Amino acid sequence: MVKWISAAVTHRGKVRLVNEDSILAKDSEGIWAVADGMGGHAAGDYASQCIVQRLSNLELSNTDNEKTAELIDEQLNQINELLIDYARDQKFYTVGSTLAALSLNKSGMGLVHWAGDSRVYELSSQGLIQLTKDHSLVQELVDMGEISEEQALNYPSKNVITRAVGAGERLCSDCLLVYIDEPKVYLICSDGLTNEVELSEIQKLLTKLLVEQISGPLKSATLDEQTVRQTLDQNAQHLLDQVLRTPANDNVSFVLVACWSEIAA
Amino acid sequence: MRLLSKPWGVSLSERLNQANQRLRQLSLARNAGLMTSEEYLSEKLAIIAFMEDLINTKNKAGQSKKR
Repeated sequence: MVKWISAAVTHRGKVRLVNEDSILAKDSEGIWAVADGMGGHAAGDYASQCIVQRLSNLELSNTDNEKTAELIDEQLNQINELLIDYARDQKFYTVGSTLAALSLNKSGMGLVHWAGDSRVYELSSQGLIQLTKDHSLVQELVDMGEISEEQALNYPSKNVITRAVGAGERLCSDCLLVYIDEPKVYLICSDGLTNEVELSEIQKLLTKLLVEQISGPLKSATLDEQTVRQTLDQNAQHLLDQVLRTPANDNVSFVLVACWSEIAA
Repeated sequence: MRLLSKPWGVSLSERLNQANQRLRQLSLARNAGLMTSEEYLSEKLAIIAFMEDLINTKNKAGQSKKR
């Protein structure tokens, strides 16, 4: 049986007047998400809120992953249509949002769904791995060998995404599988976090949490859920503080999900 | 489907890697117009069901050992 605890943060940053990001952290249903409303387009906040609200209505606590995938897919397609209709009615060019979502069930298996450049990272004893691959112009240029990954970091059109919920008649979200065979921490985030805080910093912080509060105590049967929760909250606040020490030009949102299997104890 | 054709002799983490690799291939095929969204969904669900079955079997075996 797999257990999890999450902490979630969203902030408008220091420049934007509106927070167009929305977050979902619903431990009871095993689903967490970040949606980043498309900046420069009308009603980005509406788009991201629609996604999060629809996903939060899903009842997933007793569903298997196949059913969960079906339900999420169905919801995303419905939201896509809804946003296209809304844009048409309001005479906006596009009303869209990225999405990165993680769902887990008690078997330890889970799903990652995403569209756009919001990301899901997995931290385990193997290190920090980016599970999602951005649907962005820059990523396509990297894939084609036109620019290097280093050049991509400061590429001028870095924020141009190639897929989003609401951006086209056909939504092509992607999906990957995860499995909790050891204690892990997932980070679901908008680019407002990863553009401002070095990944090495994030990895250092979360590794300390993983080793000192989860993996170690799990081995000695002294894991204290309340301590994990407090540390997770402190880490989330620390990451937000780090972003707010930068120019914080963008909204910033992220969800941390710590999970472990009781069988592995 | 190649992924589903050889159930034994491969570790669960390797099987998960194969499943994710297959999902990436399917995504590329869909985006290139080589398969419809419905075909993509159907194959995706088959992979998920297969992996879920493997994991549930492993979990049950683990629980039996613990007892």
